[in-house]
Amino acid sequence: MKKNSKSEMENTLTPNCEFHASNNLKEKVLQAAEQKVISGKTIRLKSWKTALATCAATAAVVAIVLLIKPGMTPLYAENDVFARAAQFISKVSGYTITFDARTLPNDNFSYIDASKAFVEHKMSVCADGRWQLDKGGRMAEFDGENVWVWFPEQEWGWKMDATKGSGVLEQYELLRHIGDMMQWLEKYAHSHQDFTCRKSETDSEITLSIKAAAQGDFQNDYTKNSSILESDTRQTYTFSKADGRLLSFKIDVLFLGIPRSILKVQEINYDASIPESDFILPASIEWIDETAEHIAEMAETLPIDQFTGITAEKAAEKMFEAMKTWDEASLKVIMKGYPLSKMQEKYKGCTLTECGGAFKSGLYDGVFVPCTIKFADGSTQKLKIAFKIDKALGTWCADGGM
Amino acid sequence: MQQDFKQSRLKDLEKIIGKEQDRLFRFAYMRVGNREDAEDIVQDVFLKLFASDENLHHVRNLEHYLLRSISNCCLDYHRKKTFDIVSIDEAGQVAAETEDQQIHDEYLRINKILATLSDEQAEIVRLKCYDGLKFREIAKILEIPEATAKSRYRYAIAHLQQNINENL
Repeated sequence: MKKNSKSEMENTLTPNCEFHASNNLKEKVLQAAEQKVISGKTIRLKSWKTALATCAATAAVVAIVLLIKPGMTPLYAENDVFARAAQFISKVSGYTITFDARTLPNDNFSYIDASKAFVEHKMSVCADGRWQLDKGGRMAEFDGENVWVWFPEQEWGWKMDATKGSGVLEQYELLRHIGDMMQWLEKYAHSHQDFTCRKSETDSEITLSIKAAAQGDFQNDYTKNSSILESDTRQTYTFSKADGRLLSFKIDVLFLGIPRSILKVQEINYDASIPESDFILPASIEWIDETAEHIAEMAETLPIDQFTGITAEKAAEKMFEAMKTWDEASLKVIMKGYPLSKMQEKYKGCTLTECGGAFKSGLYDGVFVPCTIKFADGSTQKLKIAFKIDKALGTWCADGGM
Repeated sequence: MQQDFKQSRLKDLEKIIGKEQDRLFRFAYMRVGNREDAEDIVQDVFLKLFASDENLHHVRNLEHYLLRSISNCCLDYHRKKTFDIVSIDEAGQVAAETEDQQIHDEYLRINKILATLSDEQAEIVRLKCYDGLKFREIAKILEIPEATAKSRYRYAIAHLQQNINENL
């Protein structure tokens, strides 16, 4: 008697025909979706990623033993490949890197989205330390005095101190230290168990192939796969053996082990001529002043006490309480960094109907607070609003998700 | 801006539907046994996804999210539809639309085999054999340890083999 093997049994239990949904199912769903009153998330204004990117960038900077920028003179042995890389970059007058990443044009620099089309980014780094990153809908630059981040289409942005603004480049901060990148990657691999680095060489090139596990706490996986750091990735960096210059790099995100290209370099142009005009700020932008001087003034005049010593949920309640009457003094604290004049149209008169279950996710150093809100016109929306303690004010501040 | 966002979200949804609708339909059909209800469930899950604050492009989680949602909706369906429940043998007499005869026959054939299993074991067999999921994916969807998913599956298959062998 023939016994049934497990595979035969599995075959028996597998449907032997094709299943097709009705031809009009997609149309029906899309029509219903269009009719649904969905106001959706607005632009993710300030970056709730800034903090994580700052952490990562800080880690990078700490790990870099010899920080060399264009124009600086390296002090170490020339026969070392790292030394040559750093020496090479020290001799260029500046460089540009054009790369494509799957993201949304106006979202955080760290934000990635594997289902989106590639968005072109251009990073420019000058020998004098100025830099600019342009991803179409979101731009950032250091003009030698201040760091500026702005949204060209929405015509508003932030002005920040040079010292406070180093995190705005988020995961691309490392591109400002391109001469030390190879060194940093190797050092980082040695100090992190979930980060492996393999070096291979040809006659002309050195390639570092890196596998990095997603970083962060994903007991709640809300932010999983939303940034390179918070994704399982496979990264490849190719350097010239002759002079150490970075030739190209690409990053794949691994979904269930299957790679999906998320970032690829178009061109790295060393000794690029970066026109002065690139650093001229657009005149039409409404700037929110986030410099230390301005924040100190705010702290003296605004009711910051009401947003300290409370839970994030309570802060959310107070924020929406202030929205009912558009209490601008309170909103300037809790929505610090938001363009209130632009937010007023949507949020004035809005009330909070449900709030609770704040959670942390990934690398973000604040919390996400699920909220259901009711707008003045009666429509409702569910949001997960990012709140964090603002270091300058010492109060809770909404940091994204509205 | 809001309009752009909505349009972009609709485009995302369209892509997801295009990619997932047949699979989700099969998933739902093999649990409810008729096209109308299966498609209603699939539609509801897509609309809930669209209306939710879920990030449509968290691809890694999206598959699990959709399958878990369909699975939950199917459980709800069976809880609510007690008045419609008939035995597997009787179910053959419930007319299936002609165009769906083949898939309905498959539904009846397989569910008749699975009828001797506990609900938990049957669902794991469905997820593994119908849906081709790995144990770690099944464990995530059912929110049970992977080892539990494996052992339940092993017992289920052994039980079914024994049943069939005894009847040969």
